[in-house]
Amino acid sequence: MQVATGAVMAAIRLLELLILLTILSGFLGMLLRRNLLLKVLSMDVMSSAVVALFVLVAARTGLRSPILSAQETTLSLAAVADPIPQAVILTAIVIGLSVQALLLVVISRLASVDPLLDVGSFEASQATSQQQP
Amino acid sequence: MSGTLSQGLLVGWLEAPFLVAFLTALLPAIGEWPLVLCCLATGWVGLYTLIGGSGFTLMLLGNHGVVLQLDPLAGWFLLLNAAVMLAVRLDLRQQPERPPPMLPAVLLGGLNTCFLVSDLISLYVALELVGITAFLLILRDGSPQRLWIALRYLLISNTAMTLYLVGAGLNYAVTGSFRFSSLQGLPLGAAQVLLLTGLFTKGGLFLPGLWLPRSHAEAPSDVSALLSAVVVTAGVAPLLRLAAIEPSFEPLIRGIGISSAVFGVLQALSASDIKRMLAWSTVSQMGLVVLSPVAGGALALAHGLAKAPLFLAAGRINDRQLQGWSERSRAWSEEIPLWIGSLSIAGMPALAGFGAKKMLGANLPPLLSIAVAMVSVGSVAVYARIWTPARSNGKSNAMPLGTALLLMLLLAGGLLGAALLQHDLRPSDLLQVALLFTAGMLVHRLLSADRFKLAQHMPQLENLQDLLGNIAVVGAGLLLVLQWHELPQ
Repeated sequence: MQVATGAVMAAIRLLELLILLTILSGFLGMLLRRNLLLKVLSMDVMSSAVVALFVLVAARTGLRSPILSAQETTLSLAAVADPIPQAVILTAIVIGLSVQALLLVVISRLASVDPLLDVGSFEASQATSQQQP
Repeated sequence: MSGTLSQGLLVGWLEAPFLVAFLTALLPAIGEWPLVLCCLATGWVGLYTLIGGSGFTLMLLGNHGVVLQLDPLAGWFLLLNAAVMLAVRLDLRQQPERPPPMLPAVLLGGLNTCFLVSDLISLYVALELVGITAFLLILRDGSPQRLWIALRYLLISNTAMTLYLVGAGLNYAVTGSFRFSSLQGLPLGAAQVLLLTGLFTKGGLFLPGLWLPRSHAEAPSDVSALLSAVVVTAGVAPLLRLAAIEPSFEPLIRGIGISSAVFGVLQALSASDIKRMLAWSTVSQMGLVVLSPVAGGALALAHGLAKAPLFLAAGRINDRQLQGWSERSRAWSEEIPLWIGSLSIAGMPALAGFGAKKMLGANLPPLLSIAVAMVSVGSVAVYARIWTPARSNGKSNAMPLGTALLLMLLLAGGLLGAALLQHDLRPSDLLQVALLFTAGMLVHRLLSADRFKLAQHMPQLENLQDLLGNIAVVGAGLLLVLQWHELPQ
């Protein structure tokens, strides 16, 4: 695998930093928001950033989609993106989507308990139900 | 030739539970038997690997594909998975309305995969599969309370797995591989910390894993048995595998392990409900399991075989409060599993827990052994609360088949362990056990008046906000420890 150098490397480092900041902001959103729906959306921000991270890791060797055509030269092959992270993240996207769907279904059911979806109200109902066995 | 045949069989066995799940969803009429066969096959693979003592690595789809490693470490967990799943399904036969076998089949297959895989991405997929299945099992009856418990389980688990995936991506950027073995010899950094934090969360370990007690206590009892005995080990088994591959992980994992062992025991001592007590005891036992890659498998097996009947019996008891436990009467079919299961976890000779604890003690440095002994004293004190002279309520319910099977396995494991450890067994060991039990009973007596006070002093870290904060605290804490270690050089 040939890894890019120089100015390209600097750009990749910068993008990596931005992506890590996005992940952090998603995590902070989960931590600070009290609304369940916003929590799940923050989680989505995190997972999208992870997808970006894998795409970035794949792009270190080149930007062209890793699909072979009939007339390839050694020069054109050298600029192909790394297919492994791309293939891997496809699975993660599907899993993320299904988890998100399940969470949203449960949240829509929970909206009948508290339409504001505040975390505190569910924890509180938990505490009272524990005191009355 | 026979090599490719056995590899084909292995892949077939690994995929069979998923096929069974599809079939039972399409044709409910085929019933339970395919799942039972899958359990038996899993048990056979586990036993065969343990007895054979050697393993082999299977690489599917070339160098960057799925890496499966069938070795004795996986064998312990496979055996546990098979026994507990079989027992829980057998127990459910007594109930008039038993849940369909589709989700348990997916769970069986997902867990088998977790125990075998040796690359980061396959592990991610398998863990997410296990997480989603456990989520669906918890919210089986759809009551608002279960919905909330399931929601927070999936939310925490998915956040942890997202962080894990970041770790996997960062690791790939450095090594160009997702295999566990690619972590070997690397300087510890953010990537490894993220991977470990994800696994700590899934494994119910100190701080990020504190979602466990509430989820396991509130889930339906047959599901609790599965969750507490096997599902939680899906995060623990890869930790043991990683610790065996890269020794520099060991101090971090041991630090977290011993913290969860101590914290779990303290919380279990002050719990007021039997299912919560059992769940906290799981946190503490998982902490002990991760201490040693050599003994961890055996300890997890002994713990799971004991914890499943405990949860199944607790589910049949009407009043789960520990207050006034000795005044109430219970049927013998509830009392016997509670006694045998808890005695095994406490480390009673002739039961499986004793041999496993002996193995653990032989593989630890002296300082850690002392800490483990303290935790054992605590475990005795925890379970002493349900060791009261039993009063039968006159009902003579037969013991459910599954529970009976697990209790037999505990006894058989104890006898087998005694036979194997015969040469290492000295009278001093029995004296040690007697001392531990005496000390534990003493702690139990001393605490009986002040239990409420202890409960008040315990930090409450189980709300969703706290759990998310816990992930951040442990991740940042591990990074700080690494930085601090690097400074003197």
